[in-house]
Amino acid sequence: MQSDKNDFIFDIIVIGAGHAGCEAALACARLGKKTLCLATNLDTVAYLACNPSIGGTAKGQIVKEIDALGGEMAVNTDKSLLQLRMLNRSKGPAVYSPRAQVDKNKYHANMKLTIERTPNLFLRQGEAKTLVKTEDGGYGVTIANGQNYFAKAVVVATGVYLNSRTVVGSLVQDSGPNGFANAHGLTDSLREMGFKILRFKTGTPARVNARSIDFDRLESQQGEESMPPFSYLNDYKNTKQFPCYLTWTTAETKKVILDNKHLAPIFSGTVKGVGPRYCPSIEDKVVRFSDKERHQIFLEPEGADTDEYYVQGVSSSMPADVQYEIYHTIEGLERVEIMRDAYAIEYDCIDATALYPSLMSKNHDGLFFAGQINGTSGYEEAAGQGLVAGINAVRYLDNLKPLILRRDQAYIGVLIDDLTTKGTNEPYRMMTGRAEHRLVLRQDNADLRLTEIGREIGLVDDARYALFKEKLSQLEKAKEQLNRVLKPTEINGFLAEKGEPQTVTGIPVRTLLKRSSVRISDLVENGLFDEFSPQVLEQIEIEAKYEGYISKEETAIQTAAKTENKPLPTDVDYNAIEGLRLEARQKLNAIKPLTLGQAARISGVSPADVTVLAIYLSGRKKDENE
Amino acid sequence: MQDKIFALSTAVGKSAVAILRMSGEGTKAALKEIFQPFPDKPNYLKYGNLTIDGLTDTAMLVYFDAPKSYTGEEMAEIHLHGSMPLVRLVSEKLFSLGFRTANNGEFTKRAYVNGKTNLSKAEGLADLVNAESLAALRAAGILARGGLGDIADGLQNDLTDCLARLEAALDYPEEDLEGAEMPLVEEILTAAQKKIDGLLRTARQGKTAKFGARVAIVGDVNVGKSSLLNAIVGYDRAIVSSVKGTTRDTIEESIDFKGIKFTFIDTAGQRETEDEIEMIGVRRARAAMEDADIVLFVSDDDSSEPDWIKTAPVPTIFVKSKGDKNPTRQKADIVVSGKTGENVQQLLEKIFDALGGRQVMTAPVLLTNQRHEECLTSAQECIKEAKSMIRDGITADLIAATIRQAWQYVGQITGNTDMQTVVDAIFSKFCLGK
Repeated sequence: MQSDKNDFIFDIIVIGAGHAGCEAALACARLGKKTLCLATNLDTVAYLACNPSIGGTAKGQIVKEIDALGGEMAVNTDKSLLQLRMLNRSKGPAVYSPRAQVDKNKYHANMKLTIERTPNLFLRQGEAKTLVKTEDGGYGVTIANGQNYFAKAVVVATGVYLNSRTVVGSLVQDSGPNGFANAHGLTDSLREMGFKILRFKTGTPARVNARSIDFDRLESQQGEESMPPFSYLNDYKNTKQFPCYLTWTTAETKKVILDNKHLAPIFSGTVKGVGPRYCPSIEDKVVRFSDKERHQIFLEPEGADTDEYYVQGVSSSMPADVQYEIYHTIEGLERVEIMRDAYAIEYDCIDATALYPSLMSKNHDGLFFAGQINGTSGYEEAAGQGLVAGINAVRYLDNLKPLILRRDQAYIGVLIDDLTTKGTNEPYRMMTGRAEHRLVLRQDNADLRLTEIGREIGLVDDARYALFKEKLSQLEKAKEQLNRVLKPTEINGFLAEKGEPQTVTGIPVRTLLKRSSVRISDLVENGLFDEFSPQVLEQIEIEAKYEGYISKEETAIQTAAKTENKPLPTDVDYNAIEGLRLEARQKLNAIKPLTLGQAARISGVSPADVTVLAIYLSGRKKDENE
Repeated sequence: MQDKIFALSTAVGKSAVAILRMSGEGTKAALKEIFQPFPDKPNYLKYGNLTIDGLTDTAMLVYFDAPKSYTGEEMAEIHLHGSMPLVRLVSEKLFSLGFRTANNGEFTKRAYVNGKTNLSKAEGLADLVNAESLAALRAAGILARGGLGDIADGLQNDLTDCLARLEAALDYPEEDLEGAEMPLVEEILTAAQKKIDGLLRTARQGKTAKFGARVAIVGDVNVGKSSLLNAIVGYDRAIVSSVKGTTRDTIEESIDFKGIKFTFIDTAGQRETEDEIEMIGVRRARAAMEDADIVLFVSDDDSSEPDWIKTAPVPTIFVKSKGDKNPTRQKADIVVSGKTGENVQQLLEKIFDALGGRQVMTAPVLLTNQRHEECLTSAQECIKEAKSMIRDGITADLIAATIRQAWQYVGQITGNTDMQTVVDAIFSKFCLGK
């Protein structure tokens, strides 16, 4: 038997092949690093363990950002689409949020195939049992079959698999999601390396058979016709529109839950992990919001090749027989066939304040973390971190400055900054409300914000870059047209039709678009504006309509930038800075912020402390200059 | 290069001397415009004339050259007579000369940055800056419970509530959210506006407590304004004669009434005149009125008030003078006699009441911090804008952004600017999620 030692030596090892692991592994390999991607079970690659859906508020923006940087999630979503919609159409472009229903099996299969066909990338089934530092400053990973692998950098993306257990009433199983095998051992390695281990909880509802759903009595929810796909690479018009369905719990549901409250593991203490408030189980919702008469439920198709439906809104860890009763009280589900029970899952994760905003450990160079192990929740949040961790593992090996996206640059930047600066005491879900610069972090401009960065990093290939450049030039042309003054003869007919006041002197397109009843599509239809791609038109329209607000936001960003981006060295001993309060010294030493802005966001660091730091910095700079 | 800053270095209020301190490149050049003769060398206190907009007072000035000064920058001090109106006047002039007010601890900060002091000497800095937030003041026991801090907290809670409703609807578009409706949001905003109004009112009272109140005595010629001033201050401060137009320039005199300093400004009588000096006096009288906190409109007959008094920007008390001669009380709030002193005490009471003097003296805490007042004013503007956006049907993303600004401004006062507060409120208020 021949054995080539090189088969076991890699540049980078990615532990886990969920949404974080896949993005990390693809980024590493695409940037030319020999990469090993480990999964406990290859059937779990990019597995959608909860909703068969990608995107939504803030999450849709993240997917666009991943795409703009050259990641995979949007492309894979487009390949696996069941339905596409834009949420928040009536609430303004800053919160327009694309959301896709996807085919769960296809999503997994498509991603797996992409990984399999990526040069430099080696996908391997095997549970990572131990992680150790090697003498040369790299890492060794031993998998369950005893094989050792070596690499200079490691990305840990274990999702919810570490020491996980699932809970259905009194049935507590040592298991990963959906009955998949979980992972043991790695937590001990992490603990030995000094990481603080937290225990979080999440849950998922039951899956039911379509034939047992009374669709006729339910309100269907269609996708948006002809909406552009997720990825900037694709410009076909989406036609796939599998509907979702809307229904409600009833008074009976509430009664069943309250009658059986004593059996609920989240109230009896069986479930000890901290659950997310934004993903509550039905029993939690009913008990905490007892005055609410009914709760809304969505039925989402799991795929084109299955009749399973996901029952959004009814996750639970109640015993199976109670679940059965609960589900049968829901409108339209009176004769429902449950195929898989709802369950809660508890798992190990780390305190992400142990990481720099590059997602590298502060104490272990070359060791990166991404996804749910950092305390987040959601596929998109995981993928965004995976991409950044992968990129930065490569940049670590290449001795390059890490990619740290700013809060005014990307939701991914907000996410990672929040995690590494404040940590989280419950699974962290991204929300548009967390982004202070929401008006500029839009789904329509993710490419304008990030594609140049992705190009510089090397993940934006020529094809994507050419499309991007083309969009830029189209935008230029379209912007010129905004300044065109429409003559009264051209426009008054249109204005009359819209019930808008007539113009005597003519009106620039830009001004016209500021009127709320005037849409750019109307102008195109009336031959008053040249045809451009829907994406370009959307962008131009937003810029014209929201010009004043956006420029105000941009001014605010620039004003804040002076403090926000002022770098703080990591070698500062905060104990030695007089004038800082004791609590601030401790927190600053623990977090080691990279900028003054990050320091200001640490809880326990007051504005006064930040002033002292600013002063300290100016003094230090002066010392260095002299 | 550092911009020019200034601050009042002596205590606010009555004092023999008030010292204004300045720092920053260009300080000397700027001060040369208002102080003559300018000292010909640094580090020497020089006596001279301070001239501002045609008014002249004596003062003393010393300057320091960079880097041989406390901050290491060009610096100066002006020693003025200890009158707050004078300080106010000079401050305004300094603004127009490109100075801005120094932030707390800024002189020390500059001294540190320029290597003139080390951090251990600058230790008090953090406390100084900290004291800007009400939370810190409360922690330090300076702020009484039930006072301003609670009102500000309540205000921020209102805005948090409002934002939580809006943000929940933005982040959970598919949920059925009761309580996220715009009319409700608008209602909460209106309540917040009222709270801010209340706080800003205490700001005016706070100023009254700190600086006292300016009371302009205005009226036609020869109606007894100067007699009234003399009766109030208790001695013949102003020349009184039966000749119309005797008082040509404004005369100021202060008294202490129940703990508040009232500064009375006797002005030239209002009439059309050919006399150039009297004309200047008439103009000054109008200016004094605009600068006043209260106007006393004095007349000796029952003629109705002239237009210029109807448009006075501050509360006006209608005083009928020469009460010893004609004691009727038509169209007047009070009838007084400068000659006999009749009702003068009652007039002072009326001024005291008009200023909210009781609140000034008894309120547990008043908004006395200029920065807090600015934050509240900005917050108020944002709320006003948000309300009009709601009425104009502007999209919720922009409305939320505007309310968020208001929230941030209020947060600068309460010391809480962490958006997590809003996120927490969303989940405590709404049942959200799959």
